[in-house]
Amino acid sequence: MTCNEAAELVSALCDGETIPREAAEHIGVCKACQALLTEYLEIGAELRRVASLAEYEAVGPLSLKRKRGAIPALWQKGWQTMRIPRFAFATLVVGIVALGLSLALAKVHAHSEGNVVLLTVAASDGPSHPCPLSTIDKKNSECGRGERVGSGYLSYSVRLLSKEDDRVRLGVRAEFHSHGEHGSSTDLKDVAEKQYSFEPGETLQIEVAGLGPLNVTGEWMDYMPYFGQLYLEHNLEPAPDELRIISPVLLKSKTVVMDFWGSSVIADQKDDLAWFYVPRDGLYELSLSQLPEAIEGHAENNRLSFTINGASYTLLTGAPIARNEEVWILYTPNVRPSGAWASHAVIGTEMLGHLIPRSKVEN
Amino acid sequence: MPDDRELWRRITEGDEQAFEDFYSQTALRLRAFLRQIVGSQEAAEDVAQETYTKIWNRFNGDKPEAGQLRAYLYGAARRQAVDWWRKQSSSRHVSGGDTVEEIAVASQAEKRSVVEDAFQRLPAEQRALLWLREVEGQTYDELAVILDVPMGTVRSRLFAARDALRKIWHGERRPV
Repeated sequence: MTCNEAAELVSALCDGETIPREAAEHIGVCKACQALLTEYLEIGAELRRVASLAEYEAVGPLSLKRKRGAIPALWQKGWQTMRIPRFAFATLVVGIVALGLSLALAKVHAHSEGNVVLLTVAASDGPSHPCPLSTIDKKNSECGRGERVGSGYLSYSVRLLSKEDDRVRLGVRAEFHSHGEHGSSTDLKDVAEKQYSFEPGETLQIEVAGLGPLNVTGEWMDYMPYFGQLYLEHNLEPAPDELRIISPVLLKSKTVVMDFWGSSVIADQKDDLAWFYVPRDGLYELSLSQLPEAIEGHAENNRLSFTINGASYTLLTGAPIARNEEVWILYTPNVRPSGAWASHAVIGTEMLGHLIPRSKVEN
Repeated sequence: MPDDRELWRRITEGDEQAFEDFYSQTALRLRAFLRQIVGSQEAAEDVAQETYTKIWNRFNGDKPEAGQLRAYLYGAARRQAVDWWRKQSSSRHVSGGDTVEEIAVASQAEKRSVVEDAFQRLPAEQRALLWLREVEGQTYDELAVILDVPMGTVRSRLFAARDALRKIWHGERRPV
């Protein structure tokens, strides 16, 4: 063996590695290799000495630009707002829309010949929301919503029980949690339903414990105003920072994963999230801004294409999704929203950074 | 103190205290390591902060093996330092000045030993490797994780780094 051949093994010897017998024998008798070993050891010792000097300088405080730990804490504060456009109790689909959308409803026909009564529901300290109910179509005879009101959380559902001349009989369940923790809310089906006779044109006041009156007004319409539910104009063009998920159907390859028929969500602020939860699958969070760990999807008109773990997904919607082609999707399997809606398909919005309250699913 | 697996589990679950503990235990040495690569205390502090922030914000599903959390951290820091060099290089070259390497070396006006001086003249990648081995005591296994190379490559690269340092140190070729 030559010194050249042994040189790398001398270096390895410095590191406490064992070396081949032949090399060990050569180094044992070769003064040049022994000198090299000494030099390497000296180099190491000198570097450690220098490092020891440096170690006395204190490090600054940890300054994370975006603390992941803050996110679950914020989730616990509850959803920003939640909308329940249809209470189809077999497969309850909960829709959630962002606040602050401008109201521009289609013109209505204020007479009882219509087969739709468009209710407007408002807490005294909260915004008003539309709730269109059909007198002839059972699928469209219920609506509901969950939202923050002040520091608390209001949940309600309204269903049209019957029509009697110009009046309708409504079944209302409502509950208010003053501490505002969505996760502690109960399923509305556990809340007693109260019945009210209501004539469009009147104002119905429904007392909600801990909140005060819920004011209901209404007018007749002769069609179901889909966009009325979303407080949108008849304009299919998304605004620059809007992410519109209108009545989506999620396909994995050619298989339907979930049909959110009739449920829609609009994230109308640049940093808002749109999200939907598919029971026994997981949570999909969508954003126009890049999310940590998110994958990039391609939005084109009313479809969003993306790939998760090699599987192709398409989200088909009833309207153009966004002006941007890039939409970020964060998929989290085996989690579900915590609280009352955990066993249902849910769609909603939340401010970026809040995400939604979630809990792990035990498979 | 929890083992790596337990610590990582707590961190990935968003346990801020666990991450701050991890930071307290590792930041000093990580910064010293980064200083050898990026050439200044300030830059090392910045790169270290970026490294911890990235680890905290995006785990990418990584699951460091037991005993390899430190290697994972240093690997992430090394990649962050490479990014830092890349950014510095492009900005420096745009302004038409000296190369980044030269600037970094020139900025070290502090008193240095002969070995340290020679060390600073090594390419950043070799400085990182030698520092991790000699100062941090990283094993070949850990170095393979940090550098993302096979174990055999670790041995040959360490030899190359020592040989290069020795040549700079002596200012002459190693006699055979």
